[in-house]
Amino acid sequence: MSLAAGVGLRAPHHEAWRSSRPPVGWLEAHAENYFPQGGAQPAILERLRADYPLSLHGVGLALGSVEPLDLQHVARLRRMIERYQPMLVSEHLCWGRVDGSHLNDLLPLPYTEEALRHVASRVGELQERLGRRVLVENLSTYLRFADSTLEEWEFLAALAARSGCGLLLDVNNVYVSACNHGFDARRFIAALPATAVGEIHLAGHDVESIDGREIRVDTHGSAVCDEVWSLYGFALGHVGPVPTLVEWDTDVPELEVLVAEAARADAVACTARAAVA
Amino acid sequence: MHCAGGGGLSMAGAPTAGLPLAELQRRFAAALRAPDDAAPDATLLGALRDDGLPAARRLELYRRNVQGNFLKVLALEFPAIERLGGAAWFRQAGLDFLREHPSRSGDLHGIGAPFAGFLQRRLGATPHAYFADVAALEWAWQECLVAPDPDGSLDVGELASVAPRDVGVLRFVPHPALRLVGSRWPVFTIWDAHREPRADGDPPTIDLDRGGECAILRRSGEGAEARRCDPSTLAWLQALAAGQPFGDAWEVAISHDAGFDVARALAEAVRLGLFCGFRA
Repeated sequence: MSLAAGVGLRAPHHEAWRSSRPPVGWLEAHAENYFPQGGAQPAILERLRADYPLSLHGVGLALGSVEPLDLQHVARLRRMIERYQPMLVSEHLCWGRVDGSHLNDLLPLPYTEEALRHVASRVGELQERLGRRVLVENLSTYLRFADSTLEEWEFLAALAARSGCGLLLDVNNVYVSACNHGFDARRFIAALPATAVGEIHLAGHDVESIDGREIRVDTHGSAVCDEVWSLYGFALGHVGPVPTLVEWDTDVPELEVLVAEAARADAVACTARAAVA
Repeated sequence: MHCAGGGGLSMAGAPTAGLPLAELQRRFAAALRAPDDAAPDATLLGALRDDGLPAARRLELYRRNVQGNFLKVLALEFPAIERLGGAAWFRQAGLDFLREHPSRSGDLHGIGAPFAGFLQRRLGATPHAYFADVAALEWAWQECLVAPDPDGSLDVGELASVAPRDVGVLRFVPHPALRLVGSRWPVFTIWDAHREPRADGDPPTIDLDRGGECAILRRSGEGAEARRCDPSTLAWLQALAAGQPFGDAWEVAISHDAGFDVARALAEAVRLGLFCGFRA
């Protein structure tokens, strides 16, 4: 029987995907990794798309950048959407482009009215150009801005309300940021509009010590930690059942390990449903 | 769950009139791109909260991530250059390269394109001048891997039916993934010896003066394949790929090697799928 939870499709597993069809519920691909229009990437995505529901997850649009949207990038995303007909399309609440050059990282925004107006209008423009609703994901962050007047969860809720976008709730990112900035992760999740949350991400992270202070860093390089599993159960209680994805991007283990994590996500969801019933 | 550490929840008392978003992003990006010894931007640091760890240290974490992401991609695209130069040299060269050639896209597939030219400028007058040609070969390989699939394939039967007197004016359409590389150094041998980690210890010593090498890179199945070729075949393929008529390309090849066997070369090119069509 197939699992409900999905896993991130990553290049180190392409070989395994060529010869097997593990019982995961769905797949999510980083859109930019499959931008090439020839060779192995589109070929494998095409084949897997025939066997699994697919989500396209953008990492390169840098939606919150002040300079105009990269329309060439949007056009390529649109072509991918037309070709692969994904069930979900998502991006991040971040910026990364300045003066035409790209830092190719997910950089945090100040939570101000100015930034909110800007991102809401960008997300609106993106949804219009793609002709569909987009989910916007919360980041792991390592700093906060002195000017912020809103909490991150207030910013996300207002963004969803103003732009009509959905939210991709990354539970690991909530936990990482909560630890780094000292807020209550459950308060964050409980404050999100439940009906806007269209997907949940789970992943592992690292703990670093900088000048004797513990900082959690979003590496996607290990198993989901116990605290995040528990927070996931809490999140399901708030938003109800939504597609859940397990991501692993560095020190990528065998595909079976990801499948086992997806099975654990299903087990947590099962317990959460029982608690509600 | 409440995690320990960090500042409180209240944003009360935070200054309200801060940097406009555009200026904040410009300063933030400049700080992430700055060299190690750059002076900190006090205005930017003033816009960030310390929360128990100086803002400069927090910024440094982002700077390290940004550098690490780029270097990881560059190392994936140029594994032989990294092994030839060593990890420490590659890191420094990579960071200098990225300052000169910042990424222009949210898609990282293109960032390595100017790397061979950068190495040529940096090392052209040194004993490591050949790095630039090895890098050009590695980039050609990357392009070959992701180039678009062709719209159609060459019709061998149709080609065979062309009357001999008409063959000279034929122009061939190169497969989008075809890449042709020539060098005065043995780049193929060097690349082949350094592109993968070796289980049996150090790569062999290669005599740089043993003569130049040429290579054909092509789509094979869904992947790529590289093979050596002789200079006349390279010149012939380059002429055809540039759109020159078959007869002119043949003359180019003959100028390299009077005994160039064009019938054999064409049969081989068709067998390898180097062309996806032709027109009169």
